Amino acid sequence: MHETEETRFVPKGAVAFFIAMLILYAVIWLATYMVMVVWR
Amino acid sequence: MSIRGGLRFILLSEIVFPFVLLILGVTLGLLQVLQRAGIIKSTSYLGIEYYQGLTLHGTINAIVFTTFIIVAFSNAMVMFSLKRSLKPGVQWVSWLLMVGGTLMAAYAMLTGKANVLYTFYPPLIAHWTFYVGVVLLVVGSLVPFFFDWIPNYIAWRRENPTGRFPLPVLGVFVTFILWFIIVIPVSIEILFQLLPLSLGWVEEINPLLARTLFWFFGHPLVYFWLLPAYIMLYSILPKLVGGKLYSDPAARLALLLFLVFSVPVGLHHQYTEGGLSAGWKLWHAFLTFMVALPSFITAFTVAASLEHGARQRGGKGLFAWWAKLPYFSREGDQWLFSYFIAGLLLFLFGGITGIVNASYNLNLAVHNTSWVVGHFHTTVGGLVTLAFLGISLYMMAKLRGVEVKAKGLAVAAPYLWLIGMMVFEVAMSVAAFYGFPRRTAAGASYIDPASPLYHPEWYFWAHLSAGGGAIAVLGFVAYLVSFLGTLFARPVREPVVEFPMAEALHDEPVPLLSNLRPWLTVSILLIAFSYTYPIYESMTKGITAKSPAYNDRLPVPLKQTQTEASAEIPR
Ligand code: HEM
Ligand SMILES: [Cu+2]
Repeated sequence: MHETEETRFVPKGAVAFFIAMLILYAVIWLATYMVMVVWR
Repeated sequence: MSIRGGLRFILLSEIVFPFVLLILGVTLGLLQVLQRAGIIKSTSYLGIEYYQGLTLHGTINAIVFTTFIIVAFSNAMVMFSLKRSLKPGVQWVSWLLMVGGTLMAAYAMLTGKANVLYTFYPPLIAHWTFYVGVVLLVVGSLVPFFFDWIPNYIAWRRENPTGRFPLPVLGVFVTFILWFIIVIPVSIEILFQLLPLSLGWVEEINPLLARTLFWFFGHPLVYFWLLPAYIMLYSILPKLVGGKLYSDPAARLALLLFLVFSVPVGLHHQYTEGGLSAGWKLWHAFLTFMVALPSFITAFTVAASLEHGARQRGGKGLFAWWAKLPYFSREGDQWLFSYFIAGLLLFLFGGITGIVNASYNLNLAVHNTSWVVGHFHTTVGGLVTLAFLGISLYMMAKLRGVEVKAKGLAVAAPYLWLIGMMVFEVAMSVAAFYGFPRRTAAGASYIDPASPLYHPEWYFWAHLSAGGGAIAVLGFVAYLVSFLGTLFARPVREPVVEFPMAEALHDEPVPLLSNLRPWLTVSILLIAFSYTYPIYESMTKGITAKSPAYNDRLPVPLKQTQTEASAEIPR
């Protein structure tokens, strides 16, 4: 009975999480880059 | 699957023995943060020198504890997945080699004859028992793979000619093939360079070659630690949240990509090394970004599996479903979830700090600073340690036939560890921007306002990292209470080897993803291509071609100090 429900499961939340993670990573990487350029 | 007698003893002791050592390892970690912050203002404490303690900390936590738990988990997982018992003879040989080797290396470290840190870089040279001990531990860890798991898999295959390679067994095989490949270069380093120099058979060796061989082993080593944790994330974690593994093919692809990309990347630890050309370093840098790919696949697959579980539990929305996960549940096996989720949160930071390390230009700024220390306490000291603590407690309870005791503390432990290590990581990273070095008992100098070497800008962050370290240690103590309670609880049922196993939601069989051969072939070709020239360069170039042996006490070759009339080496 769950069969049809499950095959229709689309991991929207996981996609959203993944995009958020990539943005977070980009921000941290660039911030680190900036800080290093300024301080060292 | 029931288990008894010698086999049960072996599996149990493969969990309990490293824990006894880990208690020392974690205690030394606490001393280190205190000595780095100047809360303890001495480079030696309780009769243990800073570098002696740091060698013990790195070797016990990152080499001994991990290897034992990986072997114990793989033994149990292969046994459970293939439904075949293990061979006591093979297991005893492995056990004796691993325990014997560990005791030998422990002797060398505890008597101060091996203050060489867990990377054992020459020209620092340890007593021969340290090297032989390490080799025995490693050889012992490979024995079950070749003489138990492979034969069992072949027998299973004969009975199940059409059955699919079970996912956890595929994972274990990838892990140990990787392990076998990388043990070769480090064995060459030890047997042909370090051991002969330690025994005085040769006068000097080439340190650049030694370092290149070491990182040929040393980077993939981190995937040897990480892959068993990924196996747990794929096969156990979804079940704990009442969901399914989102995609079986994606999980297999990630595991197999690790086989291809995790070895030919070692030069990313040698960006600052003279004597290796920049082009090859850049090539290894590219491959390092390739090896981030299977970790990204894992991040997505795990998130999708968690979402699937959360939706079954009534989770809604784009982000709100995260609230439906059993963070604090103590029901049945669900306590184990806390270890994985806390580990994953830490690993989120391990991932980005690792990408910074791998970036050729940024690495030059963080190299050998406290940044690196922050990084690996969220990776090996984060996800890997928490997954291993959790699974050890789980397996131990099953092997003893008891319920996990003090579950409240067992659930609190990973969150305390998470908070502590987060603070530790942030403090170490920020301090690194000001150039705070790693491998330094700074409290006796740079952090001491009375010292001419005083660096005021490091003071606060060193203290903050000490606070973080202390919170993590509190978490470990909470864990230990539950661990010991479970270890000594009265058995209430049959001892078993058992794991909660998740089904897969997308389970389309892809033959290429169940066949190790093509991936192994590509892996070997890529390794050969990426390492031939750097090894040749290591043998022919370098700033110092050859060096005699030193210890950590005098800046004079050991040979010279030993031939002095007054043979006593001042400490
Ligand atoms: C609460 C627990 C822990 C604390 C407070 C702690 C603290 C530290 C500190 C302060 C250092 C840096 C010392 C220096 O560079 O001068 C260090 C190094 C290290 N730690 Fe930990 N640690 C802990 C747990 C762990 C765990 C669980 C692992 C691995 C499983 C681990 C692996 C390492 C390694 C590999 C090093 C590098 C050693 C070296 O540079 O040779 N630590 N630890
Ligand atoms: Cu690396």
